[in-house]
Amino acid sequence: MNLSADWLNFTMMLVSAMLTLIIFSYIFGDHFLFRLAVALFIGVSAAFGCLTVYHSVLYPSLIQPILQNPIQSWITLAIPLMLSWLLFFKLSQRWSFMGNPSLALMAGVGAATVVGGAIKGTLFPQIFASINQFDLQAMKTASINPIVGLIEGGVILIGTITTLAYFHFGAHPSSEGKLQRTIWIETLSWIGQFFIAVALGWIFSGILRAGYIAFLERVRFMIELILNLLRVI
Amino acid sequence: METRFCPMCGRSNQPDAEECEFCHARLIPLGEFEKGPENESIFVDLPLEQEPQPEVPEWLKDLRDLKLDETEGEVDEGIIEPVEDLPEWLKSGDDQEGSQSSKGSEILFSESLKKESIIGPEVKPVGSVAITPAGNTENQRPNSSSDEDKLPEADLPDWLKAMPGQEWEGESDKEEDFFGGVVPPFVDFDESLLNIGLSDSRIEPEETAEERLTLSAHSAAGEAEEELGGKIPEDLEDILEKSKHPETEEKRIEVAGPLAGLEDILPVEPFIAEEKKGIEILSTLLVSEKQRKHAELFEQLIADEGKPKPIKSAAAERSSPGLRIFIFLIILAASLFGMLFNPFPGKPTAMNVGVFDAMQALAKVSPRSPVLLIVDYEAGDFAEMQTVGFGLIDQLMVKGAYLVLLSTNPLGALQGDRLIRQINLYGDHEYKEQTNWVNLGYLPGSAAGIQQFIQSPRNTLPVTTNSQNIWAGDEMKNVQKIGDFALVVVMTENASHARTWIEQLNGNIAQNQMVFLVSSQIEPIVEPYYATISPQIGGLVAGINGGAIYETQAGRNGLALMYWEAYGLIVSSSVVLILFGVLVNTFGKFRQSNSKKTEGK
Repeated sequence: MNLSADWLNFTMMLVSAMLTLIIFSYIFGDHFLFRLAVALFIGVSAAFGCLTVYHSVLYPSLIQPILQNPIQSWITLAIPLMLSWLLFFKLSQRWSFMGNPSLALMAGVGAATVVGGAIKGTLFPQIFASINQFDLQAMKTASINPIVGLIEGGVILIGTITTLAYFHFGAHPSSEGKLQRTIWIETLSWIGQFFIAVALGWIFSGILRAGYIAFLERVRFMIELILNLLRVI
Repeated sequence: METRFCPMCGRSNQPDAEECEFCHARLIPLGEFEKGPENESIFVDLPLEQEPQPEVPEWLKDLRDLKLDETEGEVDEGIIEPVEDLPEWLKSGDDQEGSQSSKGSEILFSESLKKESIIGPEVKPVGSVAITPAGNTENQRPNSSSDEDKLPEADLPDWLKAMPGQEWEGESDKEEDFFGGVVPPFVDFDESLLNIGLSDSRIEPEETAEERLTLSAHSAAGEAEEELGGKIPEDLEDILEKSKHPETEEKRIEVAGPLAGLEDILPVEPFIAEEKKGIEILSTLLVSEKQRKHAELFEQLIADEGKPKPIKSAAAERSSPGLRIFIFLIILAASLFGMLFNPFPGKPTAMNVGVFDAMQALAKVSPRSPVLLIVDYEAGDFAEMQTVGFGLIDQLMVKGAYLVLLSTNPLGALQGDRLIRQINLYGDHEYKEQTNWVNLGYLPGSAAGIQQFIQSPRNTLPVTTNSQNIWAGDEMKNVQKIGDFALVVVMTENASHARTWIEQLNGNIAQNQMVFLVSSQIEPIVEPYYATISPQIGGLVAGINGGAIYETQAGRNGLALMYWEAYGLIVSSSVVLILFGVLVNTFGKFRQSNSKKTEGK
C-alpha cells in the first residue's frame, strides 16, 4: 500500500494535533495519556540522540576508517579505542578505577579549554568592558553623550559591585555570638539584591515569553489543521 | 549482669569464678579468700597426705613428698640423688659449701619455699643465703678460691677495694666502714653517708614497709611525747598498738594450679590482680554554662532531625484547577482573537541596535558564500527560535548564502533541518539540501570539540549527515578555519552554550562576523557581551521582539510578525491577570488581618 506524501503529511499532522491536545490536557491534572505522551517524547529524543551519535561520531570516526583501511586505522585508533573501552569499566564498581585515566583525560582537557576560554573570553573582556564605560574618548568615538555614558557606567559599576557584595559570605562573630557580615558589605549586598531581582525577573519573564511563543505556534498549528480539515470536508 | 574481669587477659568471667576461664589466672587474690565466709573451706589446712592433682609433674610431686617428709622431721636422703645431674659449676659449689649445700639445690629451694613470704612482716634471709651488695648469694657464689673470677688486685681502685663486697676475698668477718673512708670518684657523698657502717659485710635484709612504719611510729611517738608533754596522738597510738601486736599470719596452702598443696608459696598473681575499686567517674561534666547550652542545642538539633516531619499535602501547594483553567482560557482567547481577527494591526517601529548590527553583518555576505549556522537549542524551544531567526535566515536565503548547519546538541541536527525547511516553506524559497545548504550534524566534545572545530573544521567534521564531503566543493574549498566563513550565526536558548561559543570564538573570528540569535530568556546574560563600548559579538537578535524588528526592517512578513498581535494580547492579558492576582491577594490578606484584629478585640 503506497501512501501519497499528502496523506502521510496529513496523518502526521493528525498525530501531532492529538499529541498537542494531550499535552494541553495537563491543565486538568496529571493523567495516563499525558504521561504516555511525555514518555513518547523522551523515548524518541533518546533514540534519535543515539542514532545521531552513531551516525555522526562512531561510524565516521571509528567504523568507516577501520573498514576502509584496517591496518593504518588500527594503529591510529588503538589508543583512543583503548581509552574508550576503559570507560566500560565504570559500569563495574570493583573495576571502576580502570576508567579513571580516560575520565581524567577528558576532564583535564575539558577543564583546560573551558577555563582558558572563560578567562580570555569572559573574565577579562567583562572587566575591561566595565572599565571602558568611563572612557570618555571611547564615548566620543561611539557618539555617546558623556553624561549619559557616565550615568550608565555608574549604574553598571554600582550594580557590579553590589551584586558581587551580595555573594560575599565572609562573616565575623558579633558580640552576641552571631555570625554577621560587616556593615558596609551588608549595605552593599542589600543594594545588590535589587539588581539581582531585576535580572532574575527579566530571565523569568523571558521564560514566560518563550512559553507564550510556543503556545502561539501550537495554536496556529491547530488553526491551520482545522482550516485544512474544513477545506477537505 | 555483673562480671569479673581477669586482671591478666582482661576478659570477662562469671562473677563467682575464682579462675579466669581463658587464661586460668586467679581472679580472687589470696587475701580475699580469708575474708569471704563462703570461701573459708578453701583455706582450711588440707591434709598433707592429699593426693596431688593428676597433671602435676613428677618433679613437683617429689618436691611435695620432700616437703611432707620434712614436716615430719624426716628427710629422705634419696631425694638428693638428682644432685648428680647438676652441672659441674653447681656441684663444685655444693661440695665446697659443706653441710648446707650437701642437700642439694632442691632442698634449698624447698627450704626457701617454707620461709615467710616476702610480703610477710618478718623477712629473713632464706636459709643460709645472704644477699651481697653485688647481688649474689653465698650459696650461688662459687668458691672464693676460684682464681678465674678474681680480678687483679692492682687493677682495682682504692675505693673499690674498700667496698664491703671484698670480703669474698676472705675478709668477710672483718668489720670496717662501708667505703673505708674512700669516696668513689663518681659519687659525691654526704658526710653522714660516710659514717654509715655495717656491722657485717653482709647486707641485712631491708626492712619491710611495716617495720619501717613501726619504727617511724615509735620515733614519731617519742618525739610527739616529748613535744606534747607525755601525750601521744590517737592515730600514733593505734599504729603503736598494731606494731606491738602484729597479726599472726596463717600459713596458706595453694589450692589451685600446678602448685596446689604447697604452703607459703608466693602468690602467683601480682598485686594488680587484687580486685580494685572502679574508677570514680564524676557525675557532672566539667563544662562551662555556654558549652552546656551549646551541647543542649546540639542534642536538640539531633533529636529534631530524628523526628518525622509532617509533609505538606500536595494538594495545598497545587493551584486550584479552576483557576488554572480560567487562566488558560483567557490566554487561549487572547491568542485566538489576536491571530484570527488581528484587532490591533501594527509593527514594532523602534529600531534595536543589536538588530541593526546584525543586519550590517549580514549585508557583507555575498551570494554562495559559506555561512555557518549553529543550531544549539532543544526541541521544546523550536517555536521561539524559529520565530527569532526567521528574519535573518530568510534574508540569508534571499541573498543566496550557502548555509552550513552545525550543532553541539545531538537533537540539534534535526532541529536545524526542520528550521530550514520551515523557513523555506514560509519564506517561499527554494533552498535545496546539498545545493544551498548542508548539515554537518552533531559536534561532540562540548568546549573541546568547539575548539577543535574552530581550528580545523575539515578534520573535525569531514562529512555531512548524508555522508557527503562538502569541503571540496566550490563554496567550501577556501574554508580552512572558522574565520574563513563569511558569517557565523549562533542560535541558542541555553546561556551556557552561548557563553561557550562566545568564549571559544573570541580571538578566532572577527567580531563583526559573529551574530547571535537568542531566546528572550537568556538575553540578559548575552547582552553584556554585546552592549559595551567594545562588544565581543557583531549583532544580537533576542526574542520575538528582536525577530519582529528584524522582519520589519527587512520588509518581510515572517513568523514573528505573524505572532506579534497575538503575542501582544497574551502579554497584556498576563499583565492584567498578574495585577488582578496581586489585588486579590492583597485584599485577601487585608481582610484576614482585619478579621484577626476583630477577633482579638
